[in-house]
Amino acid sequence: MFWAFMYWYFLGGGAAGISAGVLTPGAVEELSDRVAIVVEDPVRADAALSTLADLKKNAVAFEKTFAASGKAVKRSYRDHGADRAEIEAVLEQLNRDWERGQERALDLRFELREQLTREEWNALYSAE
Amino acid sequence: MKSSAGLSLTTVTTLVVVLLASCATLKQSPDPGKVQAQIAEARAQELELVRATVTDPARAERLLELLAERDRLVEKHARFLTAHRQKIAVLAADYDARREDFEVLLADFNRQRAAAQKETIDLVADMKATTTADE
Repeated sequence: MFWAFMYWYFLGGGAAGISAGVLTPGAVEELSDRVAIVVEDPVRADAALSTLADLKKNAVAFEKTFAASGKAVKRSYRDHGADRAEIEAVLEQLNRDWERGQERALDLRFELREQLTREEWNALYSAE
Repeated sequence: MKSSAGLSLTTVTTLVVVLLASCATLKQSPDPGKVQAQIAEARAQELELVRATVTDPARAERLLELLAERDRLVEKHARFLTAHRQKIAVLAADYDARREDFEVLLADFNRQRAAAQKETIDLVADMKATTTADE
């Protein structure tokens, strides 16, 4: 009965909290659409879109990890006799994966920045 | 009965989420007054369900205290998440933002999340200890 409470808030805030705001697949798709409009140089546009595709892959992979951990948490919380050590182990692993995902997202965010001019970057974000 | 109890307990949390989310964005904001009224109604149903399901009055009262603590935890963490997302959105849009700036915010996010996970595990352990497996 505490499942939704756990999943939404204490695993990190639901889908929008997965990347701590650095990226979500939806946000990456929106940025990709804008790159195609804002970046006129086809070579840099392709490079930026490739980086964004990697970002999306990273986000989707973490969503799967998050969902799998969520199932384990759900099982444990629904089982009145479940050992808390089991859920702690699941969350520790999830948190390690989470931090790796954040590092990768930051790598790609700064890779994208190097591919764009200041004006292009501002144009991408001013559309939000 | 079990499924309706689960639904009610989930409803309170979901409504708090909706209300707090509406504070974070001007887009698609629900009517806060209406959501507050829904929260109050769901909480009343929750109270009724706990009293109907947990037959021992002392344990029922204890469970209600724990549910109130749950609400406080949800609201505290939701407010943190809302503030965090606003900060990181500003940073993400800043061409001159440094990696260290992101790392500081993410480290804080990770610490807060881990603390919230621990608080929740403790709370749910207390809830399990307060109820029987059948309840």
